[in-house]
Amino acid sequence: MGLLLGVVVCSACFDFHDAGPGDPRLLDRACLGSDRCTTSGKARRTTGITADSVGFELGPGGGSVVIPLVADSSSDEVSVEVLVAGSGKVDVSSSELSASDSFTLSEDYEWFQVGGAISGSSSGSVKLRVGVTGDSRAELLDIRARGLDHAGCSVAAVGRRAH
Amino acid sequence: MLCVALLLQAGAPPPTAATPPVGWTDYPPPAWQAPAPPPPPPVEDEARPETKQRVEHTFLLRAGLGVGFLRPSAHDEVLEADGYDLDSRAELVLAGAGVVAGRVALGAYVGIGRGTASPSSEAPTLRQTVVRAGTEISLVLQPSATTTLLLGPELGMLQGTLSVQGDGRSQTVLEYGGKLGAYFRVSDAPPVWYLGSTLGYTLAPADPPGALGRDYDYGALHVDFTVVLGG
Repeated sequence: MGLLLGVVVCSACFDFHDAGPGDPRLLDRACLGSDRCTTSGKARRTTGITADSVGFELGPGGGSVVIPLVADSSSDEVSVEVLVAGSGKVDVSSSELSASDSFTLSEDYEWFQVGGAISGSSSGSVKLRVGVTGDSRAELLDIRARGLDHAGCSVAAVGRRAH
Repeated sequence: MLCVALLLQAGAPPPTAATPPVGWTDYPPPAWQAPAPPPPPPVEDEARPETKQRVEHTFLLRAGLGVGFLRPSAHDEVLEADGYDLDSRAELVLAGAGVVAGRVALGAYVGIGRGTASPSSEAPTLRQTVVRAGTEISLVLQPSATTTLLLGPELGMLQGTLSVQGDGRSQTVLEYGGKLGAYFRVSDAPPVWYLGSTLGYTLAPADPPGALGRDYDYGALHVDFTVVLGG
């Protein structure tokens, strides 16, 4: 029985058909556990394009979400895009990537890209911070990346792999 | 001289039908025979029935299998931006109607539909499922003995679900629209079977399926291959 459980768990972590970082719903995979993506201030986790997907509402009044990612060791150049709508400005940054940018939002959902390079001290772990300040308000719907992926796999129940 | 002529004329016998006056000839001459009239065209056997006659139906049952081309919506654009191009779904529709007055039929329909969009083989699949039920009023027309047309409005409820992880929230919304069907008779003996196609267009506006995004619409342009049973 233990052997069977081990096979199930390991097969979940070595699923060669896992979605790539450029595929839709990287935000779902990155924020699978309720504590994997942390919010602060006037930010809250909610649902996204469907009721079983992940989204974040930021502001107004200042708030942010931090999304954990891991670097692909085979790639030095990395980039992250966020799909977001709202009003005012949204700040996207990552100290590990030495990247920070601010984008003006509109009511239509748009992809905004930030890029950078993995620093030597990051040890593969990258935290992406998306936040607003003041009266700005943002709806974060999804992210996609190149050279980065979600922080790992986990098993929610035996025999079922959650993305 | 004149008197002599008058006396000669007075002495001649009067002309009769048997002896026409000199210079008078019968027409047509007795030897002439009128040509025989052409034979009359063969008379249609009026007692023989037509191959197919119009059938007055008291009820119509139909089953349709086809495709629903989804109505565009603001949320569609959001889905496309996220990488999902969900533009159609497979559909099955069953309907029954009773002819209640002349050419007017009152009935009900139920249907199911399912559509998917996969940006790549590895990405989570976006799925839309719908269950539809409602009432319909149809005008039943028979432009020929072998053709039946149905057209009229539909009004019902639709329960739709949009999900990427298999656990989406169901939304129940009003559905309304209309249909036009053209069916061709394929059997003579009652009950009469028809084959044809149904074209429908429905609207089913809904709130955003998730907390974010924009308003959605589960309506569609329905194109079905349809089998109709008329009794």
